[in-house]
Amino acid sequence: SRPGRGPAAIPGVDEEQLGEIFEIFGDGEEYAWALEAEEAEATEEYDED
Amino acid sequence: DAALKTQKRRKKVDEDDIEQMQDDRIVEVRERMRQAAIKDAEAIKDGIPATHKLQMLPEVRDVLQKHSLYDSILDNNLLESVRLWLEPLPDASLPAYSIQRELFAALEELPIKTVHLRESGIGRVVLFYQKSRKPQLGIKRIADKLVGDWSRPIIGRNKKGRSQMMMRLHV
Repeated sequence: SRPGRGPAAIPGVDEEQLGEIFEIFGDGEEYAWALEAEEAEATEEYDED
Repeated sequence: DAALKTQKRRKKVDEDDIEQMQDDRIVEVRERMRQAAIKDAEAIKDGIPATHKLQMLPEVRDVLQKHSLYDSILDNNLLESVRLWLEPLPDASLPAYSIQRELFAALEELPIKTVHLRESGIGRVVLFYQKSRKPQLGIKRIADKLVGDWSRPIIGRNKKGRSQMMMRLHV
């Protein structure tokens, strides 16, 4: 797995809480495609300027 | 005494009937909202304007504004269809601003608990609005507040932990 993903030590937050947060907010993958498309658009606009 | 009992029973039956009718209505709206979201996604793929959600928006707004329907809305997972309506379209564009405004206003008002978040996946799309640069500032502020409100019952008031946790969810 990539670094920065999944349960890892965050001060004051235990694994169970982390699991619940992932359950509610997802792992950021679901709409990553849309955010990536946004980045690409922004880069294109920058290149055009 | 018997008459009073009958009256009481009648009242209870009436209440149950009303509740059942409300539930049926919400389930029906939820399904039509789902269909509208699917049709709009297909329209965008075909290169034609997406209008199905917008056409249905006044009705959805009316439902979401009724406090008497709050329990039914949450119990019958209308939030799942709210999530589908807020999702980015296949061309990565966001739904119309009027849709965002009405739905985020409702999300602020509804007494949403962790169980409803788990069922609906609404937290995922709200987190996306928090991260995306596209929503207007007012919408982003609400998204930010909701993410805070919804994570607080789980992580408590550990603000630093919460913000670090949210950083982890960044792509």
